[in-house]
Amino acid sequence: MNFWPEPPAPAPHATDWDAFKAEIAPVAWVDEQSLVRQKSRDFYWYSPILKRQLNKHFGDLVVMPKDEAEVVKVAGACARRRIPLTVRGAGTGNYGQAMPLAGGVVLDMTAMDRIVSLSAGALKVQPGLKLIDLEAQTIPQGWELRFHPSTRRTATIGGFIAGGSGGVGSINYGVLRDRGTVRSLRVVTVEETPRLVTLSGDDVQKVVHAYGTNGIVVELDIALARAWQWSDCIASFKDFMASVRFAQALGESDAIVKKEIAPIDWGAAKYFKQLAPYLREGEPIVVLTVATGPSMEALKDLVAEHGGTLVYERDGAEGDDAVPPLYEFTWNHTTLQALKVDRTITYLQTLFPPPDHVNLVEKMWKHFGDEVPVHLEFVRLQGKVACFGLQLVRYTTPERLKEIIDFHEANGCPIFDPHTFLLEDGGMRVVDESQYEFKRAADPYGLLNPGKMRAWAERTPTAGKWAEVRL
Amino acid sequence: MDGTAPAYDLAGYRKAVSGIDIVDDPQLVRLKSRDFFWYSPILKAELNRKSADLVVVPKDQDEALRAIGACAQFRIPLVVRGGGTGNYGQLVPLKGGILLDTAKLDRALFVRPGAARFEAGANLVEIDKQARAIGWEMRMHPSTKRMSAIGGFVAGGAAGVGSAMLGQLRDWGSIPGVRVATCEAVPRVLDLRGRDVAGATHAYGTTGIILEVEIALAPVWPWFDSVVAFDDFMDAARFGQALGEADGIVKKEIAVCAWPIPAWFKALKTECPEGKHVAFCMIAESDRAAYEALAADHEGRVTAWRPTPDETVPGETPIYEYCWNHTTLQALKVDKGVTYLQTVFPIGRNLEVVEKMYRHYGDEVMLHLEFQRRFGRVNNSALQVVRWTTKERLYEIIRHHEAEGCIIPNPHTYTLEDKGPKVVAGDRQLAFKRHADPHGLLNPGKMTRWTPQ
Repeated sequence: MNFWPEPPAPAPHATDWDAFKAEIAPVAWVDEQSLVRQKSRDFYWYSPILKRQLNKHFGDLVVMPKDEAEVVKVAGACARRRIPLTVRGAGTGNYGQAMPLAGGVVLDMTAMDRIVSLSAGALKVQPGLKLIDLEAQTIPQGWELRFHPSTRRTATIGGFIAGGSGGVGSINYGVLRDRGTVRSLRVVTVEETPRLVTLSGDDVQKVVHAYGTNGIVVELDIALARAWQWSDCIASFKDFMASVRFAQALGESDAIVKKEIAPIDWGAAKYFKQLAPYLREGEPIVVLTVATGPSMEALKDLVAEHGGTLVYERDGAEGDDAVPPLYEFTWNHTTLQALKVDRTITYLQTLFPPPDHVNLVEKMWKHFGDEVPVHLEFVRLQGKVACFGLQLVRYTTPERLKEIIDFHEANGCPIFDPHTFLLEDGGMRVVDESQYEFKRAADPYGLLNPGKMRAWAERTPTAGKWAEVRL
Repeated sequence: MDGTAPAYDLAGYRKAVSGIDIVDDPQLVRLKSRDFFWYSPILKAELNRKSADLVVVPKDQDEALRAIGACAQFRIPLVVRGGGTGNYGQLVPLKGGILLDTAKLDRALFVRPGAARFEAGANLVEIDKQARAIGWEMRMHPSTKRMSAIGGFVAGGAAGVGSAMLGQLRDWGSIPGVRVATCEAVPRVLDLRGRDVAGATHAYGTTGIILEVEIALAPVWPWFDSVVAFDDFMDAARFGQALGEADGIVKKEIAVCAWPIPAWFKALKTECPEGKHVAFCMIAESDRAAYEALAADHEGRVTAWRPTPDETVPGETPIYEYCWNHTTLQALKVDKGVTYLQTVFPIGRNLEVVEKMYRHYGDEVMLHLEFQRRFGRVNNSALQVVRWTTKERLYEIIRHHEAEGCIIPNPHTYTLEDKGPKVVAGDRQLAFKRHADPHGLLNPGKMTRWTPQ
């Protein structure tokens, strides 16, 4: 039974590769099969559906531009030769964002890793800079990312903006979709003579979270946050719903400055091997990053008031030899930690819309029990505290997975389906008129990450279900 | 005092505090016994003649404890003064006695990333100067920052510039600790932390004498002052709400003033065009484009964008000095026929009620909104400028607002209870007062629930 659209059959892209390599010289490339295959992967295998669908899809050649001029050269050559081109950061996506469905060139951006400027919290940066290295340069100047994915130690800034949506810090600054954080993007078009286009203001949304289907990002201008001093800690609770109510109360405690609030039921937390010495058998936890000092002091009162116990506390949020930074137990890392132990697990991405989110969580939690161990991420969404679910799912069949998804949606909890490689069926929901028109202008031959945008295939703007809730 | 001789031994008191600076010139004492209660015509009549008998100005905490202990010993009422910037007689002595001026208790105990601790009399501009030297600032401050003291702010204030993102003073985490002296013959010094802080804060000094305040700090952003002009008042109000809810735009202040309030702001003539409703905002420099796009969405035109001036440099007026209670002050400077209200609109349907009031009252109740985080959500309060006629009419207006679901912390009375402190905090204050002020000498008459035992 196939509930999810199938990708095209895997096949190498047929072209004169030697001539292409000559044309793009002196741009660096790699064609060694094992490396090309490695650079054609992301974490799509979290999903048993995508694992089956995409397991044999690879690019043909990895190209590694070192500056904007080289990107232009490669883009022009691809356009002239009609070679598919898939842009890649670190490959930490979860639904094949950076996986080529039609072979061709994988454009590895990691050599473009320079900070261009940092002024009054506005950072101009090349896309290939890893988030951890980015912050290593900005934190000494008093600035940090407003939010980052749990893959901070490996992901690139370009990959995050093109393939991500929110993360650690979204409890303060919302998501990438919100105005403000992404100030402008400079993209290269894929045409015979590529153009450099700077998108500012609301126009940046043509490229944010579009999986590189709408141009090649070569420079980003993003707003940072003033850096706080953070502490990691874990609160343990007797009852899962008590932990959720605590998380909500903390989210709404304006004077307790926090960066991460993730309630995780025992059914998921039990897989956290490195945390095992601190966790209490059977007890749900809330993974927290809170500002050191007055916020931490007030947090302890709040934990106690909700019947919880602080079982782990550490100054700083960078991790140590025994325990990695706690954000590596949150967001998609929760799933990863579980998958390290149990390969049969998969997951969901859910919005529990405010203001009824706590009740909706309880309903789903009671309904599915240990088949869907609940993991929540509290965020600010359009100015209100809400939560996403990245629940684990004990996978049995596609039919059952579909049933679980349908049940959530029937109860008013939209699923950002992590089992599809299609933009519109996942978090993006909508490819509107302006995005579609921009695609036609920036990629007239449909070479950028082909197969990901339903609107392109259908030659018209599209909207998935729940078009009003987008990532 | 009201001209009657005090019933207590002032001479004995003076002897007991010998060596400590005192002020006894009646004119100066009366001056020190006042705050901005004259915003309210009702309080002006009630409080105008009130004064302490004597001002004592301790130069350190040891002297303060002596001055306090002597009050208990001689059973003399005691009121503490910070900058005297309250608006409803928080510090006005109703029963004479001693006014303890904290002006010289202004030492910094520590200033470090995330938190600072000062003696109660420390001036807020001075606190921010020291915090900014290490890259931090006060999370919130009143519009009277130049004049106010930290002890006065936490004893008499509730929120301010900065509450747009960081909530209220009473939220856990804003004030991690206070040091309080009890009013006993041998005063005890108590360090309150966590929830216990609520026994002493926002109690007008009725429950203990605040000697030191520890405040949470926030990292300092490059703030810009900005003004947006609107043709339609409700566009301006919706902009205020939307800006509050725009998580990707970092802000410190969002005030919205209906025309004709801006007509009183003579110095802002170019930024506040004739007939336009305005928003006064403080925004992080990096978020300018997003802020301007949001203003444009709401048919607003940005008429000013400039760095927030440093208060230590004279001659420039930060935009926040047109916000909070300064809005009323700027109006009163020009037109003595106005007064004001303080209103918390019902969360979730705040704009609906704002619109109703706007249409209903027109220029009689001119809306000045302050958008802020309350319990995690964006809501607006209001400090409406009211065209004064009679007390009866004012109370009619108040009752109408209450009937529509608003809460009015009434600025026309001087009692704590009329400000509607949450019952929990009120109980905590009362319990703490029983413990710290057994003779009921602290700011008598302000806490109506207090009864001598």
